[in-house]
Amino acid sequence: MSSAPSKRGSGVTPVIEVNDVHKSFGQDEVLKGVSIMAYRGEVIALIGSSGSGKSTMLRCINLLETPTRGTLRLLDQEIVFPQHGAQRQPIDRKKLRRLRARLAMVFQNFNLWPHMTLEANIMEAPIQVLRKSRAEARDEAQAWLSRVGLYAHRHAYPDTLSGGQQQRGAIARALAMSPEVLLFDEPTSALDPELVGEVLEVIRNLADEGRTMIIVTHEMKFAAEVADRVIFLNQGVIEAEGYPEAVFGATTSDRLRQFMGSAYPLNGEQQ
Amino acid sequence: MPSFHLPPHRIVLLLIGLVIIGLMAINMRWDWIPAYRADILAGLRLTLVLLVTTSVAGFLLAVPLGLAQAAGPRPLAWLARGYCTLIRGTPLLLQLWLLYYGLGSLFPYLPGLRDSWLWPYLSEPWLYAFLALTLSFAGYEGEIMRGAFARVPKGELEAARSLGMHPLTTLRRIWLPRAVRRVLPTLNGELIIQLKATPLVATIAAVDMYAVFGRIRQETYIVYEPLLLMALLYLVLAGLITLAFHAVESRRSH
Repeated sequence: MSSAPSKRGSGVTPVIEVNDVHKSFGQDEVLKGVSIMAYRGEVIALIGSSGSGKSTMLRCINLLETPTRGTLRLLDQEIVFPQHGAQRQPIDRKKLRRLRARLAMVFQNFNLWPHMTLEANIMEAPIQVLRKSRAEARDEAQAWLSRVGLYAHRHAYPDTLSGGQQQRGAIARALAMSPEVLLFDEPTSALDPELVGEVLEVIRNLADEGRTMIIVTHEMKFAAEVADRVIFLNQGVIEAEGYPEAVFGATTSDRLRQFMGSAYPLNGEQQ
Repeated sequence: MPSFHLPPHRIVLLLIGLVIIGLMAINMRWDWIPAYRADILAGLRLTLVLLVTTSVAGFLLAVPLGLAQAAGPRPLAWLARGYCTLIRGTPLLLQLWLLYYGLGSLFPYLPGLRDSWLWPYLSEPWLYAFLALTLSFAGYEGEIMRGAFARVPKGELEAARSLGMHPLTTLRRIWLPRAVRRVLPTLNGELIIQLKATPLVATIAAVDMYAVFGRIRQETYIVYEPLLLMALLYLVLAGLITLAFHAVESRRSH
């Protein structure tokens, strides 16, 4: 039901297939059966109010969170949850790590490592995980830093950089893994308003390159502009899904209308 | 740039200090120093060796102790916490004596041990001094490392995890260096405390700097002068430790 065709998406099999995923923290069920398909080259925006489960959903895709039940198909690797059931085939940890590296994640709080220079931050995972040589990793790190406009700051430590610069650095760090999918977890939420633009610009360029991306965001205008498909999550279930124009113009969901109207008065009628 | 201009009150204090040192040099007895120079140096060496080896070994033990408490499975965390509480809650002197008189007196009853190559070492007081000081340092630093590990923001570790980094690589490259950098200032003070704990080993007949000066006082009947020289030597060692840490901290402020 979630395989709506989209502008950029191509290929028959999805790169990521989330099937009826549930996730509970203790008694609290945050995801109540979510299914998402992402095709190669597609940009998906996950929107919803805080507590709707959108970040948890994204973190499940990178396996930072383990779904309580459901199925994930990540780049041809199928994982059925719960992992320790009677007839389940538990995925081995090495495979899991290799998988994670191909689904690079960008966090709300950047999470650059403060004890390393920007360049070292970006070289770290390619050296330690992909076993690249230092020289190769450095060349690539410098290329990625140029891409996000931070080449001049490559020897700077993260805490000397602005939030926008740190986030662009974090994007470069993710890109250095040559991931097949980029996952963004509210990449601009921790930024001062005047720094949001530079980060969105980088993400927009990546979208134009045809990268597969899932973006959890509060930037509705940006989502409408960049995303091929918008998924609106509410209280752990998908409330609306489709082309941005369709979702943002939707009148079918009261909750969506409420959400759009209250937090983000972007719709013309709201003015 | 620090200014080298001296205000009048400092000049006065400086002069008073110089006068005191001058009076001490002239009026007190220092003629015993040449005779005991070799002994003092030997004592100084044992003090230094104990300080360095026990703090290095203790810190190596403190890393798993802290990690187990901060992130280990519950039984392991409890075990580590229990150890740290036990060590921190009892006097080092007691631990030293328990090891030396307790453990040390049990060894002779173990069959075959007396004839083994280990025996000469097992009867050396410095072995028990090393053990007690190491275990004590591990207990205190284990607690400090627990806090340091816990305070590294989870997001930084998640970032490593999300890039497919092996947990041990994450520990080696991210978690441990971040934690250690946080405890460097604390570690400076802890090392100085460790230095000042070493004289306790004199009570089990290990001849450290403190023991040497004690013997000097007994043999020469000179009361104050050896104590003053000893104080100066400990002060210099403590100063050197602080200088070393300042050098490390200013070299890498990140």
